[in-house]
Amino acid sequence: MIETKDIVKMVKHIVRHDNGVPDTRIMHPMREWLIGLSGVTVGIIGGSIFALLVYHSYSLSARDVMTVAETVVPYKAVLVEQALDTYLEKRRVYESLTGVSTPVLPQTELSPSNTSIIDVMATTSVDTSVSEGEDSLSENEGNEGVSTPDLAI
Amino acid sequence: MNKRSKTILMVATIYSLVFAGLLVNGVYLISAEGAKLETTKTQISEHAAKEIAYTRMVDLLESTKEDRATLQQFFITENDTISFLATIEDAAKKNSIELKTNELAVIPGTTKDSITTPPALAISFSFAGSEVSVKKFLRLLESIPYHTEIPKVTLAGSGSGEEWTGSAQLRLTIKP
Repeated sequence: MIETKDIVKMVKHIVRHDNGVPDTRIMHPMREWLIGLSGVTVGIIGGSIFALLVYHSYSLSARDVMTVAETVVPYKAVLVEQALDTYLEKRRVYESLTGVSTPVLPQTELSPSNTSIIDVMATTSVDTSVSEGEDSLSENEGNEGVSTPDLAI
Repeated sequence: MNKRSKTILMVATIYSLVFAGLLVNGVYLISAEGAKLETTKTQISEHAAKEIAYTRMVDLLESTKEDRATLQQFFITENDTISFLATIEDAAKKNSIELKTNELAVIPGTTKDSITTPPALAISFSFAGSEVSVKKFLRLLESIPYHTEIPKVTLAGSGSGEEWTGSAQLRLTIKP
């Protein structure tokens, strides 16, 4: 049975080489070859793991949903309806009192600068893989496609 | 170390350096492309958000075109002030009201504390007529189908047989 002292003896034999004669050789082809192979193997395995991690990281990143601030223009449809009802009623009363149709006012063109727009910042989630987002304005339903708005009335 | 060993060592060193350089360059390129990916992703998201906002705006403008056109009719323009005044005077004459225009001025719009007040047309009348005519005329002023307010009204007269006199101030919002 091999005991500890035997192992120590074998190691000393290997280390000392040739019964105590120092090893003067600089190159040990087998040892260097094995070290080289081990290094390359470790490098390949490490590199593969690194490449997989990088690939996984960027794959997840590319699928990520970005959150951006979106400018939302609110349109108070109920308020507009109420205003229209009120002023149409006023017009009706005016016309019944005067017996003539509403005075003056040739229609002037509505330019973009005439529109009163209140910008409200809201945070909305936008998935870059989706081309069109969900429409939150009920007034906007049923319209498809993008075209330049005709502001002239 | 003989000459052959030196050559092998040198070649091995050169190979190692070259491949180490390529490896470092590869890692750097991946990192740079990764940063570019993040930037591009942000740009795409912002662009998509803008596109959605634009589409919504276009839809909103299209769907509200009619309502906005109708609303526009309830705002007077600066060019229409004289014809408006003529209409009121004509209506007063039809109701047997003696009407005198005391003031006709355009008050420019102001912006204070991010609140914009549009320009307005300030008109001041004094009038006289029978009770029925005056009341009808006041009702007519109340019913002017434009965005308007009546800051002040005064009336003098008590009996139905007397001549009633009064004055009124009108303030019409001018379409900016």
